[in-house]
Amino acid sequence: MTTAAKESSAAAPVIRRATVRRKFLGSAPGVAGAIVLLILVLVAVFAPLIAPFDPLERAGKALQGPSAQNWFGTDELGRDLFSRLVYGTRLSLETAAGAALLACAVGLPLGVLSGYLGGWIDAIVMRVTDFVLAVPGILFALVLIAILGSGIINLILAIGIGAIPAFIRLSRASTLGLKEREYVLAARSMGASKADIMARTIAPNTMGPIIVQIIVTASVAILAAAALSFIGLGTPPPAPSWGGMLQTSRSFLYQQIWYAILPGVALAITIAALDGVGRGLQTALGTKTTGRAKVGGMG
Amino acid sequence: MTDAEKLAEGDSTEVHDADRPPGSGTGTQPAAQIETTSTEPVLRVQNLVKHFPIRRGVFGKQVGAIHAVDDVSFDLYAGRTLGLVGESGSGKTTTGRAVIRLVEPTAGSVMLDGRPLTAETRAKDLARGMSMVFQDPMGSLNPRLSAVANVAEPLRIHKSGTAVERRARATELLDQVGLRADQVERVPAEFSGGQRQRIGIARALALSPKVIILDEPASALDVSVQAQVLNLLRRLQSDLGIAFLFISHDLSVVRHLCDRVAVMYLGEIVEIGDQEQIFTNPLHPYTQALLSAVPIPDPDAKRERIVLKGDLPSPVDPPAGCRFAGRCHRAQDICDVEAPVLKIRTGAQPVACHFPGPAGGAG
Amino acid sequence: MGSYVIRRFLQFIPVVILASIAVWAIVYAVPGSPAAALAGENATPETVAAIEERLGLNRPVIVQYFTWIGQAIHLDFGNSAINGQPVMEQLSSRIPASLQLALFAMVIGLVLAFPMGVVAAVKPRSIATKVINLYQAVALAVPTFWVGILLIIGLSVKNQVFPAISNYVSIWSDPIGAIRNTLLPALCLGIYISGIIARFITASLRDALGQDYVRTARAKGVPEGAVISRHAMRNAMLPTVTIVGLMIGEFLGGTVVTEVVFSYPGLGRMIYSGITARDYPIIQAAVLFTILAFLVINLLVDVLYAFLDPRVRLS
Repeated sequence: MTTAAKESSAAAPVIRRATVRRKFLGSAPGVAGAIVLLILVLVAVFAPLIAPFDPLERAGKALQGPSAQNWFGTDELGRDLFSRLVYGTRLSLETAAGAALLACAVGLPLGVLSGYLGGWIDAIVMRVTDFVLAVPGILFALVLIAILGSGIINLILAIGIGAIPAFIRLSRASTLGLKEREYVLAARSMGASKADIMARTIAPNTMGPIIVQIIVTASVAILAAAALSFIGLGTPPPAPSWGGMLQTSRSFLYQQIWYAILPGVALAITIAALDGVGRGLQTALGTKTTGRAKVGGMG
Repeated sequence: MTDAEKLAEGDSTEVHDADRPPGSGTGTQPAAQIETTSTEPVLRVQNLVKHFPIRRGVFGKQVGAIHAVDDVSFDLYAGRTLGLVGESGSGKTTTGRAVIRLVEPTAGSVMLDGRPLTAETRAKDLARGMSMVFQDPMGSLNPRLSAVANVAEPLRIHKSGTAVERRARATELLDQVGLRADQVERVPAEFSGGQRQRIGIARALALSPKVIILDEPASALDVSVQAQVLNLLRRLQSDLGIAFLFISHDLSVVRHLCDRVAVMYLGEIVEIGDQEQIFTNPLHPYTQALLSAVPIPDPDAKRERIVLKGDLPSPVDPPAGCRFAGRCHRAQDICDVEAPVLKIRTGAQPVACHFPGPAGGAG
Repeated sequence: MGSYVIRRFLQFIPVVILASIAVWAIVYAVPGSPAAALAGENATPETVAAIEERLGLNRPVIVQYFTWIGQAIHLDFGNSAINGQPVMEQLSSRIPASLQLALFAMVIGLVLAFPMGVVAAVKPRSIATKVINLYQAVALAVPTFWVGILLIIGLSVKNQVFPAISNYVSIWSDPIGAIRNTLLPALCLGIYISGIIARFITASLRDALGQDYVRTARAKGVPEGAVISRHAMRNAMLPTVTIVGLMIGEFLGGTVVTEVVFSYPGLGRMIYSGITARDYPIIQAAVLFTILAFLVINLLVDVLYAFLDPRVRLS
């Protein structure tokens, strides 16, 4: 039959896995970002194999520059900087994944619920969302940590909770658009319950922008975690967090300049990789950034 | 007095279109329906009304209502097809959606197989008796599910059988509508428009409904594909004895497929009758205008094209008298004052007009 | 228009109430009694008793909230648990400092972003655009506090051009001193937001350049420069103005880390010191002000937007 192209252009945007893959592979930032991100994930997973030293143990003289033994030099306690950076990757990615998945797991269902049911549930969810969005991201995390105390779990909670509203907004907006689509009407005409329609028909079809948002949130979470550790409210020492390393390095700018530079480079590479993947996905899925750009990693 | 009140008074000449048990009219008798000797309609719609409220201002005060469907009644018998025709905005789609309760009717009753459907009727019970095929074959299929999963959806929702059994049944249904077993794993985007609509039809068949509402099922398709889909529908009807409520603006398709035809204008049925009556001897001036716009294959046939003046009036504040009066060439003073009631006036099919009659015979 | 403003305002009120409840509840969420939290760790029993009395902590919770909010409306947030000074005094000295930093950062951000955004929109395939894209990716990827460290290494530690510890010097009383003290933190923030703003300008300008009225202008023979500056730019600026407004709102209190790096005495560092010292009256006042400032700016931006673009009102 000859009419497929004609009809699909007028109808819903056609999602074909093959097309998405092809478009993503055609996006330079996407491919570059994905490769770097893959390497980072491998580094995080195989950190014990890659790091030559224990990140918490002395591995040479304090505050030495790069050498054959300590590739990036040592810190003020003589620990190997390269090993600490490698383990820091693991810490960063754990925080990012934890916060992003937490935010998605709470925000996506709430947004779908809010958009599909409307009424007072929607009104309440939206006002709470407005409130959380009115608090600068870093401040929200800061106050939560002041209440919860520091530590990696609390860090993930603090950053993840602050990131929920963006997921609510996104999935709610998609749901409002999907609600009147004929396949949702079709599901209703089949006698599907509201819960069934939300879980089976609407939620899976909101995934495009949500995936992009997961990537964005991951990068915001890494920056926020680094910022919080930098001001002493994130992962407490001696954990090898990039932000914490940068904080300590400030006292030793004259002695070991690499100490102040390399954790920042690691952060920048990770964020840039995630940004590239996010942009590639946006191109591939044809989604635009909806809602307001949350200026999250600032501070 | 409103139409509804008049109808409620029970004037003997007024109709609910209950005057047509199967077998008494024209049209072919479906094979599966021969044993159905009952004269009860499988679907009876009475005085259906749907108004959409219009809200304004900060507190959403209701300032008016769109009269999408006003006092619509009809009967549908097993194995038969009733065509619901009209321009866009005539309320035919809303009628279909109100019948299957995708929109909650403002008033009126719907009886399915002798049982009234109410707001309390569980959606699942309703879905076992009635299903729907939508206009946009792409938009009405879940783009994330394969063809077979789409067709199995109603079975899953109704927890019928195991997952494996449901797949088998869905594959069987897809075979019935002409899709090969090696195609069923594809997602909707990978099919042509006609194939997608076949999937939609297979899905509508899944729960073995008594009635299928077909909302412009072929109008998004190319003409050649249209014919294939319509022939499929005919075949399924004669095999399975399902009743169709066929919503369409395309009169030639309606003529091809329907046993009875109801013409809608601005939310009301203005004329209802057997396909032959409507197409050969239309009595309502609006029906006549509609028919005059259909191209006829015979180049020698002489026919005057009736061009309607003006636009469809706003459904927000429909005219007080006959809703068609403003565009009607036969309109007289009474038409602006008193709304005509759908009833038999000249011994033929019911028509809602103060001055019904054959085309050209203006009063 | 009036109806839109009223509707927008009615959304604003519950959010403000919610924010006040959340801020009020902070001291109830921390371990120990609220009065002890507000009084600080080294407080005498008399101080604790005085706070209990002032906030009516022996009365029902609802009454406690209304007592607190009643005092907050009169700008009374109690005294700092650390130095015993009224919290409002500190807050009112921090606001102009934060405002000055926010405006400096915004000027830097816009000056950097504007040419990049326009070039990337007008010549999407040029080498310049590739360089701009790279800059944006780097600007967004580099944490502001790290830029701060690098700036301090480069300009303060080695050359002593700028002080490594910034004070607040008002631009009105001492412009040179103000620039010396505010430039480095403002540069950190400005570089970061320049990436975001430039992407915004590019996107909205590209959008505008694709519109029919732009094609009409070109078809009429309007020179390309005039097409961009007079026809497309006007419509493209609207979303940019919005994001700039929202960023200023976010900057008031949201620049904690940068202020900490440079020891800049703004709202952010006030909150930070409050948190590290567990000085809850300080936290409450500064956080509530930050949220209110953001919400009010948001409201103003939305109303302004609706005023400039009638389509918004109808949605």
